[in-house]
Order: sequence, then structure tokens, then C-alpha cells
Amino acid sequence: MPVNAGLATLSDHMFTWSIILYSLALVAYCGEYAFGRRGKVASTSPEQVLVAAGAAPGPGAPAVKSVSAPPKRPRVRTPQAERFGRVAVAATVLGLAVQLTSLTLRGIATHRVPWGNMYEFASVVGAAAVIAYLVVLIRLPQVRYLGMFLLFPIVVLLFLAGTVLYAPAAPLVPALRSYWIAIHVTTISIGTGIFLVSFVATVLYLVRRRWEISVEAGRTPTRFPVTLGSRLPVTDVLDRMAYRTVAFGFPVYTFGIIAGAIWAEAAWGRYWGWDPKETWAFITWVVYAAYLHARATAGWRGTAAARVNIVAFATMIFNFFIINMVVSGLHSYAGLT
Amino acid sequence: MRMAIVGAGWAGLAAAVRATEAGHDVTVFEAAGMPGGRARSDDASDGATDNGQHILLGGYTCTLGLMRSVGVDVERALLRVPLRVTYADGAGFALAPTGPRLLAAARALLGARGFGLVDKLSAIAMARDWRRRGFRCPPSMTVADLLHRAPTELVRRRLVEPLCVAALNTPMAEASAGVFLAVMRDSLFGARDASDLLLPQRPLNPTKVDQYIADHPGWSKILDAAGFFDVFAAPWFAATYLLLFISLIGCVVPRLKAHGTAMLSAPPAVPRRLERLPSADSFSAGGTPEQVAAGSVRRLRGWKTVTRVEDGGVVTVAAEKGYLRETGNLVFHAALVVLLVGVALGKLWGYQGTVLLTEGQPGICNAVPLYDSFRPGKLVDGSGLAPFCIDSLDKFSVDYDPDGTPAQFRADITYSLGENGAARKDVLEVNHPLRVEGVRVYLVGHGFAPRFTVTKPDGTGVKNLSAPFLPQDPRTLLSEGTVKLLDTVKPQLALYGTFAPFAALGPDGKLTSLSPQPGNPGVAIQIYRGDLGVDDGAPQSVYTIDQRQVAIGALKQVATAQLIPGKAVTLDDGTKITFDGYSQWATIQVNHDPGQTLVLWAAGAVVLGLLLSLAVRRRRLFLRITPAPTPNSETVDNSAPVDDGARPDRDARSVVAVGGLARTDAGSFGTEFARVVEQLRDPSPVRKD
Repeated sequence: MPVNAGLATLSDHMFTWSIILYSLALVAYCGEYAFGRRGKVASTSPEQVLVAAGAAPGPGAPAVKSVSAPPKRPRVRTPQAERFGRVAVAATVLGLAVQLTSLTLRGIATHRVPWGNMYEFASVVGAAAVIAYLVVLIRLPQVRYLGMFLLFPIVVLLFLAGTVLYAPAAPLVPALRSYWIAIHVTTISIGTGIFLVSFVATVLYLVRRRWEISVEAGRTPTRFPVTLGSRLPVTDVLDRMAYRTVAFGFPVYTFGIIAGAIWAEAAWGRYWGWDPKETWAFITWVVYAAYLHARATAGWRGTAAARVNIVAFATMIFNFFIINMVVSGLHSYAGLT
Repeated sequence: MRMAIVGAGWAGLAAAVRATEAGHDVTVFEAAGMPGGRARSDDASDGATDNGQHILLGGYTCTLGLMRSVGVDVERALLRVPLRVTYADGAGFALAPTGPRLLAAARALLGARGFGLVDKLSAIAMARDWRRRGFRCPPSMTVADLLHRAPTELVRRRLVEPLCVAALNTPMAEASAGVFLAVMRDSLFGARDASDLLLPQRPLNPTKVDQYIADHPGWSKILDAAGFFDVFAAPWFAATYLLLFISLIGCVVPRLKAHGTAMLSAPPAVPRRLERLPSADSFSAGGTPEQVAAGSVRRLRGWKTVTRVEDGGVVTVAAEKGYLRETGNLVFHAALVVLLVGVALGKLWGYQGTVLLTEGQPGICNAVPLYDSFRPGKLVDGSGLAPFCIDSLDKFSVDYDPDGTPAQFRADITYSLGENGAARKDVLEVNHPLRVEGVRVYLVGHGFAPRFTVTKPDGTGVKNLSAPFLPQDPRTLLSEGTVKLLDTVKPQLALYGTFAPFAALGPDGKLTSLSPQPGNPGVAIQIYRGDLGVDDGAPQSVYTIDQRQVAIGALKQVATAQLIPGKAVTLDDGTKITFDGYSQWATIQVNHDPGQTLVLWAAGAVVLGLLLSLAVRRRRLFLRITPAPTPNSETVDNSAPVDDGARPDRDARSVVAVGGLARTDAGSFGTEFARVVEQLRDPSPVRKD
């Protein structure tokens, strides 16, 4: 069946519109961040930071002191911040709807699932990350303004997808024409999107941690990345967000790798052949497992585990970009070669 | 032959050198006062103004070769510097001459001054576009045409145009894009696959490994000795994962014991001060402590509970839940070990055989010598392979989408099982292998095998002489190969050349293919006659002729021809060679992996264990029930036996202190705790079901 050119073009336009909407949401989140939290908020005052938590269960004292975060914390919200926040979430949701429509149209235009090359895959990863963020938002409404930090890499990713990674709508090569594409590629892209959210939470955790250390020592931080820490949620919340997303995404990613192996057995003759992409997906898996282990180990909780998370995400980015574009292997379905 | 060459520029001089080397008598005519053409020094001056090469890139292998052939010591005559494009205002970039080319190009671009981010991104997009086309383009395209899509004005004016004018000495609107792309490919982007950063691996690509060793002679020896070109077989890699798994087993076994003990033992004693726990609450309930405790235990279904009595009539209930977490954890880790065992089984006793079958020709049986290539596991000696034969490849076909891309590949095969099994038919497609007798049969490649009829002058001859040709271009399936007529009586014949499914003549007059769909098949062959050299016992490739036989004069090229089906070429001795058409061939792969099913089940257990270990939380709940002093009672009779069925004594009341904690991931335990407390507070009797 020929590719429906009209729908394909419409899909591309909607993709562009989704980037625009996400950028607008980004600006609105920046507005909420900038206008919110005027004046002292209880949990960010220096005295509170020094209170040791009594809420650490289990054997062994935690390695880092952090402020305990009761579920409902009083926050100072100025009316402008609230307005910006609502606009931002609305724009995010709208942008997500437009992006999902773009993917659907692409699928209809090409008569196949819309994740057959790098461009489409990046789009699905971005959408999965936004969905993960919205789910987190439902459970922890006070982290709404963190959407600014998450949407920034998503906008960059989608921009790269639309320019550098773009491939025109085309049918799949015979090796990809299998129902497994709906299982394997879907779960891998969802897992990647969730890990993206975890990465953002981890980076914010490190920033906040640096800020708390400075404040504990009595200094007021003045350098740019650290000053962001004054308006971030406490380290506990961020750490938990990072952990929970990995705890959710890791089984999904594991299943995705296994589904890929089952598909490889049907398509390439063997379930594992140390193809570069397979190898690096395995490495990413191992490093995320290391993160989960680190977070459960006394001396590694906190900053060290956060660094492991960053390394894990770096391997994921390497796997996505470099392996697809530079190294040749059986997985070269990027659409670029 | 006497030859006249007009013009002593690079082209004329190069032709003169080659013609002289070929033994001709050459005279070169030049209108200007000195040789060099557009690259000559200034006529009028004493040669001090050199209009010569604007740039001479390392990729100009032919130019450098020509210089060497006339005796110029290139290393001493030329000064090798990084490629530098700089402007008076400081903008520009420099490219290092050595090192991995892609990395150098990337670094040069990122460090370029005077170009904005958008310019750099557009330059990257342009370079990516070139790589995607394989550095090829239609012959009539100019460099200006090439740039119509991508780059910004700045990139066009300050990056591409200087390179084009310097390398080709022609303005962009007239310069050949094909030549320009060739220069870019050889100079800036290295060979087809510029991945010097990562070490090539022998099992994946032995040719690249040899190339890498040739390019980096120094430390390649160390890398090779340390096993870096086959990392997965290297002892240090094996040591890493073996030690990891030993430590894994060493961790799982004690924890298994500890978990078993924990499951069998009672929850711990209730702490004195429950209000210190992360979740704590208290309420008053009707009934004696024993009755309240009994009621609570009934409501805490699913928890493992133990009721203890302390001094002063205080009853405590300790409850614990979530043992599945550790169970899942242990299942996950144990399954990893089982998975490794399954992988090992496959590697030891599995095998993979590949064979090329042509339509209509006999097939093979599952025996080692019949395969074209056979990769056995370590303990496979070739005996005891599954009894199974592929009798023939009946037909190979490709479905195409309307736009010409392949939609599906299909191979119709006939196979039989056992010693004298009945013939069965099956269709092999990509993603749909044949699964039979413990082996799996896959379709992994395809191509064309042209067919010829050779008629000798005496009337004898061979019909349907064919051989598979290997595709050189994966997109158009232009293929190369040799058809050999191996008569025992010399002279033998070999037809060596190219086959095009959709033939066309390229700009150089050579046969090229426009499409993989065989709508207009054609061959271009060189016909060799003589001794092919197959009798001396040394192996030779079936796809090429032995050039040594040509070098010693035993095999001579006697004719060339470009043929379409039905056309023939007649040799000087009357032999007629007719091109009949083509057959298709398919590469079939037979795989056997005895550990595969075990790996699949282990993988399932891995996912299941993982889900349990991350989703289930281990939590504890403690109740401390103290009798509350009521207005009417003096003493509480604690010696009275607990009677579950009795109506709660309206006058007795108890104070229940509840505390709870989650041993891992405390986050959402709060909501569950609140819900449990609500349940415990509920005075309505528990239904017994």
C-alpha cells in the first residue's frame, strides 16, 4: 500500500506544533518557577535543613541527613505562579495530545505502527516521558514546576528528532514487519522515556544536595546551577521520584530487552548475538541495576547512587544516538542509512 | 602506438605518464609557456607565483600516486599541515591530519569560529545527508545543486564554497558534485564506516580488524595479544562475568536461608513507644484487650500475626506482610543463574549452518560437509545432527511495494524429515522460520544467478550453466561473480562479470543497475579461456577467477560482451555463449540451540521476580492494646478466658495504639496505614466467610 502523503505531511506539521506547544509550556513553567515561592517557605529555611530525619526505616542509619517531607507541605504560591502553572500544564497536555495525534497520523499514513525509525522512536520516547511526568504530577502535585526541567531535554530531543534524525514516512523493511515491533519497540521506548524522567529528577537531586550542603555550612550559594536549589523540593522528594521511576521503568525495560531477544530469534536466527545495540542495551540494563543496588546499600545511598543513575542515562543516550548513527550492525533500522 | 596529447595540465600529463608506461610513443602539445594547465606557475614571472593546487588533500591518492610514479618523494617535497580554512576576521576551522577522521571532523566543526549553532547544525545535517547517499549523486549534478537543500548561507559561502573552489578549481555552479563528494568522502569522512573510535571485532568483521591493525601498527599488537579484537572470547571478559556470577550465587544462597528462617519465624516484639514509628495512631475500642486483639487479627487478613500478652493486661499484636518481595528478589537472581546455564548449553551444544541454494538445484541434508559455512558449539563434533534435509529451493520471490521497496521475501522450499521422510513443503519468510526436529531454518539472503548456454563449434555444449553472483550494491542488487565451465579437456572457459537485475549503462559505459526488481536483466562479462587452475588442489573462490593463472598467461581474456537474455556472443574459435536469463538463489541458515527454551523460561522468571521484588513492600504493623479504665469497673478480670464468640463487653474499653513501618521505600505506606487503621476501628463484626 502506498504511503498517504497528505496524512504524512499533516503528521509532520502536527509534530512541529507539538514542539511549539511544549516550548510554550516550558516558558510557562519558567514563569511559575520565577514567580513562585516568594518569601520563606518552611521546608527550605536553613534551620529546617539541619533537622535530622527520624523517618528512615530499616537497618543502618542513612548516610545523608535530609529534611523529612510530610506529604502535604505548606507552600507559598503567588497568584501569578498558580496561573502560570495551570497554563503550563494545560500546554503540556495539549502538546502531548497533538504529538500523539502526529504519531497516530504517521501510523495511518504508512499503514504500520509509528515507531520504525529513529525519528519516530525519539517521538515516542518524548511522549512517554511526558506521560510519566503527568502521572508523577497526579501523585505529587507540588512538583509541577519541575516540568520546566523535564521539558527542556524533551524539547531538545524532539527538535533533534525533527531535524537531524528526520526520515520521511516510508514502509518498513521486511525484517521489521512483525507484530513484535509493537511489543519490543514500544516497551523499550516507554522504558527510555521513564528513565529520562528519572534522570531529570536525579540531576535536580544533585543540585539540591549541593545547595543544602552549602547552606548547612553557613554559606549562601551564588553560582548558577546551585542557586536553583533554593526553590527545589527537598532531596527526599527528588530522590524518591528518581527511585520510583526507575523502579517502575526497570521491569519495563527488562521486558523490552527480552521481547527483543525473542523477536531476534524469529528474525535473525539467534536470541542474542552481541550486536552493538544489544550489547549497549545490556550495559544500560546492568548500570540501572547497579543504581538499584546502590540505592539499597548503606554507603552508596544519596549522591553516589545519583551519579550511577547519570552514568546509566549516559549509556542510554550513547546507545540511542551513537550506535544507531555510527556503528553498523543488524540493528541499523534508524532510517538514516 | 603513436599518440598525441593536447594540453599539459594535470589530465594531459597524467594521460601521458600512463600512456608512456603502457609502452606508447607520446607527444604532448601545450599552448602556454610551461606545463601545469590551470595549476601552472605564472607565465610572465620567473615561476615564483605558483597557481598550483589550492589544496592537496591526503585523500588524493591518485595524484600522490602519480607524483610518486615520476619519482617525486612526496613526503619530502610536500609539507603536511592540518587542513585549515581561515578568514581575515578570525573565523574558520582546522582539521587535524591524523587520528580518527570522523572524530577530527566533528572536533573541527565544533571548534570552528565564526559559525553559529544553527550553522553548525545545518553543516552536520548536510554531512549526514551526504553519508546517507553514500557520497554519490546523479552524474550531471553540480555542487550548487547539491547544496539546494541543507546548509545556511554562511556554511555555503564560508565552508563549502572555499573547499569546492580549492579542491576542484571550479566555481560551485559548474563543479561536479560527484567529484566533490568523492573528495569529501576520502578526505574528511574516511572510509565508508568511520568508526576508528571503537575497536572492530573479529567475529563481526574480520576484514575491518585486519584493516585496523594495518592502520595502527603500533599498539594493535598489544591490543591483539590482550584479546581486544574478540572481547567476548577474551579470558579477562570471561573472568569478569564468571566472578560476578560466583558472587551472585554466594549472595543468593545465604539470603535464601535467611529468608526461609524469616518466613518461618514470628514477627518481632512490639516496641514500647509506638508513637516513635513513622506511622502511628491510636484510638479507643470497645471490649477487653483480648477481644480487641482477636477482632484485629481477624481483620488483618493476609498478614502474618502473633499475639502476645504482657504484664498489666496489655495485649500486643505484631503483624508482618510482604514476604513476596524477598521471594521475588531471590527468584530473580536465581533465574539469572539459570539463564546463564541455558546460554552455556546453547554455546556448547548448538550449531549454525549456512548454505546457498539456487532455484531448481538440489538441496542439502543436515550434515557438516554440505554446508557452505558451519559454526559449531564447542562440544559439537558433527555427529548426531538432527536428521533433516532441505530437498530443494523451489522458488524465491520478492513482493514489492508500489514505490519499489521490498515488502516481503519468500522462499518456497521442499524438505523431508528423518531417513526417508515424505517430502513436505513450506514457505520461509523473514520473521517466519521453519521450526522442525529441534532446528530452525531461516531465510537470510538472496541474489541472482545468471544462466548461460555454451555451444562448442562441434555442436556439443552445456545448457543452463549458471553460478550465483554476489550482490555488490544492497539497494540495486548489482551483482558480481564467475561462471566456470570446468571441462576436463582444456581449454576451460570462465565468464567473469556483473549482473544487473534492471540493467542500464552508467556514465562510464559500465553496466549498472537501477532497481533490484529484475525487470530488465543484463550481464557484462569478460570471457577467459585457458587453464582455470582448479586441478592443482589449492582452493579458489567460486566467485572470481584465479588472477595468478592470468598473470602467468595460462588464462587469457578472449572477449567481452554485454548481453540481454537471448543474445549471444561468438568467440574467435566459433564457441557461442548465449545468455539465457537468470535464476534466483537464497541463503538458508539452519540453527540449533538446545538451551533456548530454558533461557526463555528463565527470562520469564526474571521479569516475574523483578516485578515482585520492586512492587511488593515489606511492612510491619504493631498493636499495643491496653485496658482503658472505665467508670464502672474496679478491676479488670484478666484471668477470664478469651472468648471470641462472646459479645464485646459493653463496659470494657481498651486503648489501641497502632504503629507501622515499611522496611523499604517508605513513601506510600502512609495511605495504606491510614486505611488499615480505618479497618481496625470499624466496630461492625467481621463476617466469617
